[in-house]
Amino acid sequence: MKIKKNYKIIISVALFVVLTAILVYGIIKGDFFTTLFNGRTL
Amino acid sequence: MKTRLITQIAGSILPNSYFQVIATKTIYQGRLKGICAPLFNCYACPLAVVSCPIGTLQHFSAIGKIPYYVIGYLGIIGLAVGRMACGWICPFGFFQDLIAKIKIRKFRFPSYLGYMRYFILVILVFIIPFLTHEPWFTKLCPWGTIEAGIPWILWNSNFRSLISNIYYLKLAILVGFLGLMLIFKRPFCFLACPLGAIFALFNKISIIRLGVDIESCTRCDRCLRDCPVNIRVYENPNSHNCIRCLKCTRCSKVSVYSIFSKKPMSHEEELEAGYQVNSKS
Repeated sequence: MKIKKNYKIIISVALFVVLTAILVYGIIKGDFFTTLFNGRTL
Repeated sequence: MKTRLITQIAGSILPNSYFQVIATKTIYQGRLKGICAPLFNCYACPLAVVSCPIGTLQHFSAIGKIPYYVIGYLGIIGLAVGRMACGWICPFGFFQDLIAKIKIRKFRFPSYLGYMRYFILVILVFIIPFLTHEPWFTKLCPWGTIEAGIPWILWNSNFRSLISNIYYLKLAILVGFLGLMLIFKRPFCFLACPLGAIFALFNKISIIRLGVDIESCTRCDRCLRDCPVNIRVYENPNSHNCIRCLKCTRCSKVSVYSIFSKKPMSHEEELEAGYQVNSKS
């Protein structure tokens, strides 16, 4: 049971690190400015 | 649950606080629009100060780029709390909760219909915008129609020349969902929300989770009656359909825990450990 719980923690921490790296890479690449599109809703 | 009402009101007002639009009559396009709020809020709403993450994902698909920032951002939120943003801050979710207060008998969707969300996410948010270079989900989005499509047409006569058949189609989709809202709780969240689909991927692995004391649960279905998306929490506490509103935690057998803390103990385990059991309900 304890091993299963540790696996969950390891997976969550690993995912967190990967997602943070993706986020930081996106910010460095300048994704913020790519989101400034014209809202084409009509 | 007044706290949830306050966060839902804040989630509806704060991303829509560009009141200068009354003077400018054009949408805000400043730097804040580079930020996606982790909720369903139309970029083109006259009052919007932040972007819709689904609009942004479509935009990246349409221009053939990978949306690293949005993937990382939504992933971190999903990993932390799963679909909690749907239950606590989403303006469209709040709107559906308000309509659900109309006292008409509510029905339940079969749980397999929840998989439609993923289909809509993949087809309308990624594949079709990539192939056509147009944000097709945005063009059909019922919340976009309420927040932007209808207000702009009524308010600014210049936009009336842009009305096409697609506008009537999105109006029909909106009317369809409004009808469903009368007889189902949160039909858009359950059937069609692509943002909910992204967060739902994390419900089973998120840091914050729900747990049920299965041994002492009497299956009285109180959780089902409280749940805005009609889930029997004891069957699957971290279901991908759960919006983590935490209404079910009114029952003492359901609790929230983090993977870093201990999972809630069963009644027997608590007795074995020598804890005094305090019943909340």
